[in-house]
Amino acid sequence: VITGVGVCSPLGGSLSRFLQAILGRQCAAGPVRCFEASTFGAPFAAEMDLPELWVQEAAERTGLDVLALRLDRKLLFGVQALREALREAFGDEARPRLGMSIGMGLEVLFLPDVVALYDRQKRDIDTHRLPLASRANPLRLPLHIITAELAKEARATKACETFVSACAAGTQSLGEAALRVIFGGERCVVAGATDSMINPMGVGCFRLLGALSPRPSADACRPFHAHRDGTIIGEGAAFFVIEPLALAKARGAKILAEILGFGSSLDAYRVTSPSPDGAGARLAIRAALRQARGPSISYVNAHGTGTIQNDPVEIAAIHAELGRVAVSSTKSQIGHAMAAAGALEIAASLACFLEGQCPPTLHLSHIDLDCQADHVDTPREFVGEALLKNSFGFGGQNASIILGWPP
Amino acid sequence: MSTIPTAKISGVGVACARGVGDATILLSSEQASFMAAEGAPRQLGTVPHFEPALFVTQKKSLKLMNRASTLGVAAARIAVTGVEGLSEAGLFMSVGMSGGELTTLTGMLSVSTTEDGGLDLRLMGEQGLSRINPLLSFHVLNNMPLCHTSIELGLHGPHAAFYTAGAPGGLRALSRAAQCIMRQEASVAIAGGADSPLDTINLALSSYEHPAEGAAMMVFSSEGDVEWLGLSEHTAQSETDALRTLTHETPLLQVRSTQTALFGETLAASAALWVARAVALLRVSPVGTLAAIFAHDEAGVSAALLRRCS
Repeated sequence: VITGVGVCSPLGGSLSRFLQAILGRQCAAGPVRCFEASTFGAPFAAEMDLPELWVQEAAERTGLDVLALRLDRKLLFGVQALREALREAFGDEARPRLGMSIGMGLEVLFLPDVVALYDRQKRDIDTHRLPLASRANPLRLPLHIITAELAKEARATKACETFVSACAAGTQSLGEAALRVIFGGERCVVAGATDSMINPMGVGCFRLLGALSPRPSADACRPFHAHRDGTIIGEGAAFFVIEPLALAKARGAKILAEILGFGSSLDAYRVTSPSPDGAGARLAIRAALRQARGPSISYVNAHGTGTIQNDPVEIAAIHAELGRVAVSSTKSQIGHAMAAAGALEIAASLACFLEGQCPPTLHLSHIDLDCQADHVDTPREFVGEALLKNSFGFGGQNASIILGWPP
Repeated sequence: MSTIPTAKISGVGVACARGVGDATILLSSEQASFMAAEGAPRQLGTVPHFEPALFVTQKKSLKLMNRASTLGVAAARIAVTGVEGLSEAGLFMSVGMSGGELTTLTGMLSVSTTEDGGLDLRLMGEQGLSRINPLLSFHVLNNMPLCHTSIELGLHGPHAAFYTAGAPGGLRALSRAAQCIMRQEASVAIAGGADSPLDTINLALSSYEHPAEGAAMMVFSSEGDVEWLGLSEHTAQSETDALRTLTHETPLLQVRSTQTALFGETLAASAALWVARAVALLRVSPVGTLAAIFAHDEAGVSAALLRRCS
């Protein structure tokens, strides 16, 4: 069961503020601010402001470079969400020995450092200028350093696993943590994901792949819309404290939701595009349903990226496995937070249990004929037993998780 | 009454500085041959005579694949030789840092830098982006070795790509595959690790004397001649303490991921290579049926235990 949640998002920095914004139909899309992106062809993102206070505090605490912390924002987002999750779950209580399960995206290439290696005369990169075995390096924050810092922050003494299943990493980190608690006998695993790709190489590479909307508009990311033209990049983090039901009850913890089932599958189709028949997505949904022993699903928080290819495939997979069911995509509000997407969207989905409302899809003025479904375009009452969250990763890694009411 | 299946290892495939083949290439205790690295006081372990096209059936994929991906696919293909019914098999791999070479950015930099050596982001957007290989993402995404392996072998089951910079994380990927069998998530799971930390950035980040590329993949199912008995993780550095939760016997075969001269420091692939070596040694061992694999990092020591069962 989930007993604590922490959120760091462009729509607010705590679970309650985040849910208020989600149900209040707020949209975080706006011009890219953290770097000069006017010529990148993807003018909008769902960006957070990174308080300088966080940077300075982290630099002092970790000894990491200030510039690195500003350029690779995911450590600081992760720290904020992690702190809130642990505070909410345990307050001043003694914590059990913690394990961690973290979803993360790609390392950030620090272009100022790369440029320093570039020799304009030779038109080549002079690698001899690279300091050896140094933290002053174009990849200043490799993922194992971020993992170690997050583990230190949580004072985790059990295993820390880092999943890099691209956009499925957030959902997978929760699902795998639940398996550790249910089958592995662990007393507590803190699970979640953190990511930010709002940097020149991140935006640039996604633009080259044709995945980003070129429109400078609040509705740049409009999943299931007939005229959708790509996603926008979001960022942030969400962490969850996961404990066995019996232990959570015994210590009188407030239970926010129960993880009923988790399933993962591989498309094994192409690394460049999802399988067009949605077979991989269906396998993941089916595996999650099997483990959850078939509760009735009344709401699906979709992967729903707003790209032309993804949305109809997902809707078809949902209908094939679940029949007609309420669907929405939180990416219409917070963009695509990449590895952190699943974690932030699971946090948004908790509105079903905590506020009794399904979160909406915004900007859905004209639904694509191929995406017809029972779309939640304005928050509506959540009635039923359970919800399903899908995440599909670049490369064909799929993950689905089922959550139910707190028992 | 149904019993919990045990997780056993059968096929093993390896690609490392010692060569490409099945587990038997790991039997010898000779040091692998390393190449001197340019301008650095260390030697690199590359896979000798490696022909990715021999193992990758979808030739179009080759240009999308980085070195770790091709090594992973090769090891996996050798491991599954003769294994049928892979469609629902699981796949669990430890993977390392993205393998992009900085030189792929020279075209972009040539039009995006200013006279005084700075980067002009407006120029980068206007002219630089179009000079970046659009396939770069596929070369640098950390999960690609797993994705390509799933595609090449047609695996659709449960999966996880564990990012790791050392052996303990690699043991967790193997342990997860064993759990997949024991919990009956799938009847077959392929697991191992692949890494090629020989690019400029990886080399600059590490100070290892023998950095090396490599991959080892193995088949887990309820059938096989070596049983995976478990993984124990201990926050202290005592190997005996770590092993105690798994057995009170003293395994006669003990392999350590610190013995890097055998195939170099392969980071995310190291645990899988050491387990593969333990499997190979167990199969021919006249002295014992238990093997322990020890992996150390700052957090403590991890011990995996294997038993020959036939």
